[in-house]
Amino acid sequence: MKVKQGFVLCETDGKFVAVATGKLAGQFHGLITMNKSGKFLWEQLSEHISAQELTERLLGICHADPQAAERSVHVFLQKMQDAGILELAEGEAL
Amino acid sequence: MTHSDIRTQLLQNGFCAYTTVGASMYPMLREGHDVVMIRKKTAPPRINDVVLYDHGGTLTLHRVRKVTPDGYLIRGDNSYVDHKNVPEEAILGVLEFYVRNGVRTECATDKKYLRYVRRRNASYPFRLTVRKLLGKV
Repeated sequence: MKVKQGFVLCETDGKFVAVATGKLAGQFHGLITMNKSGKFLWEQLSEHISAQELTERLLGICHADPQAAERSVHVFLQKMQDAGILELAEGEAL
Repeated sequence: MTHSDIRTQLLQNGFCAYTTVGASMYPMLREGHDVVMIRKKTAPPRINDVVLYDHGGTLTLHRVRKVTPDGYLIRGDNSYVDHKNVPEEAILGVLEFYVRNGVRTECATDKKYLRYVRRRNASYPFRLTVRKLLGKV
């Protein structure tokens, strides 16, 4: 899975904000606000990656309980999918 | 992003980011491509600030040209129509920075941007005259 192309990520007030541009701006009108971990996950999703690999990478940068990290990644991905901004590979599911 | 969404974001977060619609701030902002970060107004806007304001129910992002006793005179960089006597209460936010091709430009400090503003302001009378001669104004 990966995030759809066309977002611009910028920082303000210590928060990270993703905004849709180009054709994507016509489909997605919202504003995505993330913390530092969210930004890390977002950046990893610029190319196809599995949820498991994503969790492993997150654990590589922060000391968290593996199960809690897995849940956080799942919630993050679910929100992205609900917003329609996640591209799943063929046969791939959350 | 709808006007209602922009108002809500400004109120809730103190900022709002989106891609602009229209060509009135071209060449600084390209429709649908460049991302603007609007900060909720906390002080009276100054000359050359790019402000987000309510113009007859439509949210508009243009540059402050003059501050008069009756309000603000505001006009887009690529526009030849002045919005006069805009009250300060109508101004919701000020452009803090914009992102073009991944490059972030801080409006308060970026020297290249400030040069652009000076050039654009200086060339306005000439551009206006040309457009009048062409019958486009």
